[in-house]
Amino acid sequence: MNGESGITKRVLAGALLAAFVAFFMPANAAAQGDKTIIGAGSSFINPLFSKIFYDYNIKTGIQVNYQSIGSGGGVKALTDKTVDFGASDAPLNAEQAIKIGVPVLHIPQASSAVVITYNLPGIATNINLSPDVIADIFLGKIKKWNNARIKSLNKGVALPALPILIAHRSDGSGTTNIFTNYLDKISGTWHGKVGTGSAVNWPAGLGGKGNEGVAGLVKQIPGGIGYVELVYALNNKMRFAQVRNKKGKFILPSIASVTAAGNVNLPADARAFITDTEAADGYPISGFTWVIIYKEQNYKQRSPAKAAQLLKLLWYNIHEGQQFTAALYYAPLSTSALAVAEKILKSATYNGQPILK
Amino acid sequence: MEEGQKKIEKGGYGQIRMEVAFKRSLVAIAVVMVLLVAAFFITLVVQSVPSIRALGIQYLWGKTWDPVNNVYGALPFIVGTLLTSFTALLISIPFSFAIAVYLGEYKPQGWLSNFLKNTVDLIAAVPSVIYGFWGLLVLVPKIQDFETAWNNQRLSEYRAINNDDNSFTLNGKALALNVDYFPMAYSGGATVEGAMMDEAAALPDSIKRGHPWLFDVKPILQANANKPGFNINDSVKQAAIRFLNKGAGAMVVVNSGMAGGSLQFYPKDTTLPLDIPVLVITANGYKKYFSNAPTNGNLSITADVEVVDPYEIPPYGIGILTASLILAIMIIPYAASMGRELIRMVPSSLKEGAYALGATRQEVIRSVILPYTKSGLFAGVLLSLGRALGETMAVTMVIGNSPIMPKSIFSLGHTMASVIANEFAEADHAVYLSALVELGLVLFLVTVAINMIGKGIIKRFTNE
Repeated sequence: MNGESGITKRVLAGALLAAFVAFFMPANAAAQGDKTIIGAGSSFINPLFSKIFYDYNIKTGIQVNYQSIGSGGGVKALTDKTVDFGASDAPLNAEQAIKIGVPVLHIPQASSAVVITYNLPGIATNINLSPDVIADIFLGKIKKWNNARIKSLNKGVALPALPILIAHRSDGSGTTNIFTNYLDKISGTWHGKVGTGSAVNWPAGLGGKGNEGVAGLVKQIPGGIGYVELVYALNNKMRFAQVRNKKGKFILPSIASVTAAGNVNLPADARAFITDTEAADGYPISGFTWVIIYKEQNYKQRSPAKAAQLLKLLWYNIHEGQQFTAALYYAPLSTSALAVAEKILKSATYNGQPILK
Repeated sequence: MEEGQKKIEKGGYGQIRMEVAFKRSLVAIAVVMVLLVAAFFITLVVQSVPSIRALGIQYLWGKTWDPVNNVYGALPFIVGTLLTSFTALLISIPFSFAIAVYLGEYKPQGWLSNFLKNTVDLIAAVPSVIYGFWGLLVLVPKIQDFETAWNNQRLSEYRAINNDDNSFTLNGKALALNVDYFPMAYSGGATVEGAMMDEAAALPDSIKRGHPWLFDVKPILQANANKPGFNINDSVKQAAIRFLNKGAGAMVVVNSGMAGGSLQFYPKDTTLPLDIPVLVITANGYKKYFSNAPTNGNLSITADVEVVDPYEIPPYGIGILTASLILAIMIIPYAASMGRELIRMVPSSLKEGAYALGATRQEVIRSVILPYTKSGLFAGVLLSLGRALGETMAVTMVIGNSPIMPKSIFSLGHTMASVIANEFAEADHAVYLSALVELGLVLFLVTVAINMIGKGIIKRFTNE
């Protein structure tokens, strides 16, 4: 009895030790070769990527190691050449492009929306908001929910005389980037006073960390209003506003209306914000997440096989990978976006020769 | 002695060699720590250079933090950090001293003492994110209630605000706010257009509904002219509620009786806003627009008004106060534990001497224990403060993360540690990143400065 337990203990200790040592050993060298692709960036796209890459691993045996460290971090990692691809909710800005020095490709992966969520006790409908009203609320100019301009958009809704309390993201984020990009386009005052970026100098309101931070604040404060990602809002069954788009229609954010927003003429390099879309059925506060790679794949002694492997993965992402979008509440690429993405992938080269034929 | 040591080293007695090696490794580890701190400092300085170059000394007292336009001012964060830390310290000191004195002097032993001691120590062991959660879910709603009660109890001062939402047009002419007209404190905001109606007009409801209605205070004033304590404001409010219930779109108050009406904007009115605009035409406005016009039926107005209380505390439940309360709880154990140990170490001969002289327990605490331990107690407080200055997670969750200069304890705020944690990952240009690092440098220097001042004070205590 005693001896047995002693042996068990020793075996257990051995196993623990082995696990411990394995934990600290660098992942085995072969895996770092052509069988592994490393990416980093956008945390927003992470759930979708996890699913796609898991599926890809089963089908091809290729392991994709994606680190969800935020868009800025992804771009930095790509600049430092420590990853094979970066993922970002915004195209490179001028400074980032200069820093990276060589041409890069932006490949749209999927799109999503930023929704405006609110806490109005007793109101069970999706309220309507127009661009000018959204801008003036977030500028702190409209201070009460029973403001005449909000009322005129919501005939028949008993808006309370509550003060409007604004919640925004306190951490830098792609969500803020899309939202402020939208406000910047539709409001001259916003453009002059605040501008657009992943973190801005908010004229009013309080900050919460992450989608959950903003959602938590809005839920706790009657009269609260804030913005979160569509994926997050749908997963948590939050109420959100219908927004009037450029064509004058009030659009409820949904997978269909976000895909529609991206179904416009994209520039050849796909580096475009699709906020304030021209599409009649498009939800106006939408945006892409891009994978960013070097256009010339022969750098840092990469093998042609590795470059081909990466391109194959990205091709898979925008085709078969799209089947996973809906279940995870992402909007798949529109036909026009897919066509542009294909063309961009085909322009990637190794020693000047196109990799995909 | 040195000679002897050398001899021993050369002698190579195994035991002694071990001793020397042990001593040397201790020195080496201590030196590594010092080098590490120096390396932190150098890294912070080097990484801050782009920001120092771009912004200079302005960085320290700038009040704007605008990553879009590359303008960075650290003052709101410095103020936020110091304000929350010192407020927390003030709140925590009575608690930690009480615990220290009780556990050190009154009940140094026994199960209750052990239980209390372990519980207090446990406070320090709980991860800060748990405090953040507790704060957000439990404390914030309580503070929200408190702030709402405060707002209701305090007489609010409503003001009509001058923005695009305040307009009053009469027959196409725009009236001037506070000159020709003013809204009552309980005025609602609404866009109302249409011909002016009289309450008594014998028209079907379907036609009158939604139109602005006129309310002439002349008859009421005449009827109550000699009544002491009569308040016309009450009558107007009652009428406004009646108008609202009857379906009026707005209420326009005039006094056709005399030019200088006795109706005033009553800023201390705490009534909740009504759903209709309630606008009072001043004597000036009446002369200009009403005196030679028939009162009923012919005037067409557009009214749209917003009234707010500029001194109202937004009932967020989040801000400097909440952050300070959470911090206070978190830092109690540091000063308490240290104080308890020191109080227990007061030589019993001193205490017994005082008791022998007939001192009561309180007197012993006041004149023997506290003077004997004060430098140590202060060191404990300093330790607490250090913890409060650097706390990030719990504070971020409840402070509101607004880079504004706090106006009161109820204001939203931001601290140096939280802004670094919040914005570091997505800082997407060089100066921005560097400005965040510089914030770390400032936090480092503030901590060092406070520690040095504290050490100075302790030294003075001990020398006395």
